[in-house]
Amino acid sequence: MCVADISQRVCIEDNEVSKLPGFDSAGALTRAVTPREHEFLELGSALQQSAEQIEELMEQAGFLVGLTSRESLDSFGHELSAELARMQSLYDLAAGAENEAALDGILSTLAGLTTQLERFKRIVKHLTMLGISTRIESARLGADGKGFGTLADDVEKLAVAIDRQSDAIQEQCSALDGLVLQALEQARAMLRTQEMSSRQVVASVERNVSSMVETAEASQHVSKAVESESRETYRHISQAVSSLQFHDITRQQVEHVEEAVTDALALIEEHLQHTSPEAESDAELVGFLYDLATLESRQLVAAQNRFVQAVEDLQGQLQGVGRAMASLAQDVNALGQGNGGSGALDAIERTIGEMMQAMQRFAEQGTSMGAVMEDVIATIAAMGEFLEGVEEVGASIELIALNASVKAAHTGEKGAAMGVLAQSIQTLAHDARHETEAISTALADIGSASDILHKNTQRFREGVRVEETMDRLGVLVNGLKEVDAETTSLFQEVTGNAMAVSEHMHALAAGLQMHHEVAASLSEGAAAMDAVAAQAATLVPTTGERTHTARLDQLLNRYTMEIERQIHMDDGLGAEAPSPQHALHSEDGEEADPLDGVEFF
Amino acid sequence: MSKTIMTVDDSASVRQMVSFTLKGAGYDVIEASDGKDGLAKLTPAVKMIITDLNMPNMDGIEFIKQVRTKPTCKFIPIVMLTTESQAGKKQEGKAAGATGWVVKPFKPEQLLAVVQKLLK
Repeated sequence: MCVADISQRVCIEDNEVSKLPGFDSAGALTRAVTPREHEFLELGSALQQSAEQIEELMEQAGFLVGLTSRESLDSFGHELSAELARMQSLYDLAAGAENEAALDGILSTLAGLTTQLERFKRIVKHLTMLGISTRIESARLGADGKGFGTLADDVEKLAVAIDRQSDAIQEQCSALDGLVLQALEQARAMLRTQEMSSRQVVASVERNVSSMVETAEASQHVSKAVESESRETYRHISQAVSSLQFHDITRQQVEHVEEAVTDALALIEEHLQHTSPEAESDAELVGFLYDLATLESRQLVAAQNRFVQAVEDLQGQLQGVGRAMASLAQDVNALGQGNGGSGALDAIERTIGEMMQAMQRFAEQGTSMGAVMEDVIATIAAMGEFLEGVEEVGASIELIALNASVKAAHTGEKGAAMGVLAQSIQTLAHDARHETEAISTALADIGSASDILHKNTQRFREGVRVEETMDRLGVLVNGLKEVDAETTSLFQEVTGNAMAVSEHMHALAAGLQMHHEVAASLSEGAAAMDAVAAQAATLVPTTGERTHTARLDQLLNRYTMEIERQIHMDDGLGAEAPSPQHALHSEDGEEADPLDGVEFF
Repeated sequence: MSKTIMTVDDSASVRQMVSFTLKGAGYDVIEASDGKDGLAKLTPAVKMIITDLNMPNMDGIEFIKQVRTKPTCKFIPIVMLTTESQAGKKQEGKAAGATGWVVKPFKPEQLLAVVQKLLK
């Protein structure tokens, strides 16, 4: 038996070998793998682009979460509470309750003053009658009653003066009464408005705070979810980077097989041409070819399995990124709707709107109120001018009474009737004095109330800067509107882009089919090797032991990878599973040292 | 200013993954397809080299020896990134002037840890 016969029967001559499907010395196996690199490069580019998009999405998601975080929303809450406090202090400056009390007091005093003026009128009547009586008695007394004529004149003049004064005061009182009623109505309306708007704004702020708490809680949940999605995404990308290196690894494995087969073909040629430096029998050579074919078949199967596993892992990793991005889209979308995101900002905007309306009403009412108060104060000031007149009346009455007593005493028994008149005048004088004091007190009280109203009106004018408050609130609400518009747009953008990345990743994973084609080619190659081994075995039965250790050792030295060496050293029970790469995470979940497996010199 | 690292490998897909990893961490990257190409593209701006072992035209060992002859590159870190894991080859690399050895496939965290350690 010669190798030529054997070679014919095992088809391991070069020209026969070339007839085996997909197997020739020109690199058929590497042609199954090498040209696929462009697909790996395309996947790599797609992964890079997606990674850049994902990085931006994560930053944007982080920004949105930050906007709705407790810290951020607390600042809005503080701002709202501060504005509420400022609004309240402005209301306090308006001193509505104090004004109401003062106006009420004025009304009461005016009612009393009217009664007093009526009593004054009655005193005037009595004085007039006494004046007439005095004149009559003076005429009866003749020369003895000469002085009483003057007294009668004084009494009449006084009566006229009192009458005039009373009328003037009464007129002012009527005018003031009308003004005070108007002012009181406005003051009460203003107080009611303030109370209502305070209640509304407080309730609104409380709702905002409650809404912000809910948003902050949702935000915290989303923050954790985003963090988890981020970790998950980058873990998958990291693993994808490893998987994408398997084109190079598989190409090298296949190249080693082809080199071994090419060397074997050269060996056969040398043997057939009798040019081999080694003297060996045909059976020895066929035995070696059996070992070689068996080993290379297992190398090809191992390469095929690792390649398929790598690409399937890559599919899983792309799908993992897709799932993480879909979750991110869902979480961000949920935050942007309902109680979260722009919902909270909308609510804050509305509250500020309510505050601005309240301030606007407050300013309008205050201005109107101020005008009425000015009239009230002016009217009271005018009434104050009567105070002096009233006091003069009181003094005049005192003098007349004294005068009457003196004249009565001078007249003696003849003027007994005059004495009675004088007594009456004195009594009236006493009553009149009492009334003038009461009127003076009333006018003074009204004056004091006027001082309060004046002070409050001045303080309102100088201290109530509604325009400043409105400007500040306007800036706040415009700022919020801008943020709201940006965030609404950003929520939509992040949600949309995250979904787009997710769909792209899933599409890439679904489109990966080349590993089946490569596996088929490598499988054909392994089958060709198996066929060669089978044919060699029928010619030269083997014992299963390796007998060409020198050549096989040369083959062993050709390998670069540990997996190739493991397969070579295996006892032939089948292709070895790929040796596990060092895990970045140990089984108990703790992170392994990334420098594990690296050697430094 | 970011540091420049050169990656030398006859596999475009491996160069792509090395670049992706390093650029993502803020490094500038120069790619070369073999030792000869690497020498042609080498500049003083390059602060570190990551090179494959088995390449056409000029393999990794020869490339390292050539790099070490350049005065500006005597001490820059050179790490081999290769499928090779034999002790003998590692010794050869060390003797040629390699600083470290990483077996493919690498994980991004691993490569970055190596770079950060050597470029401190």
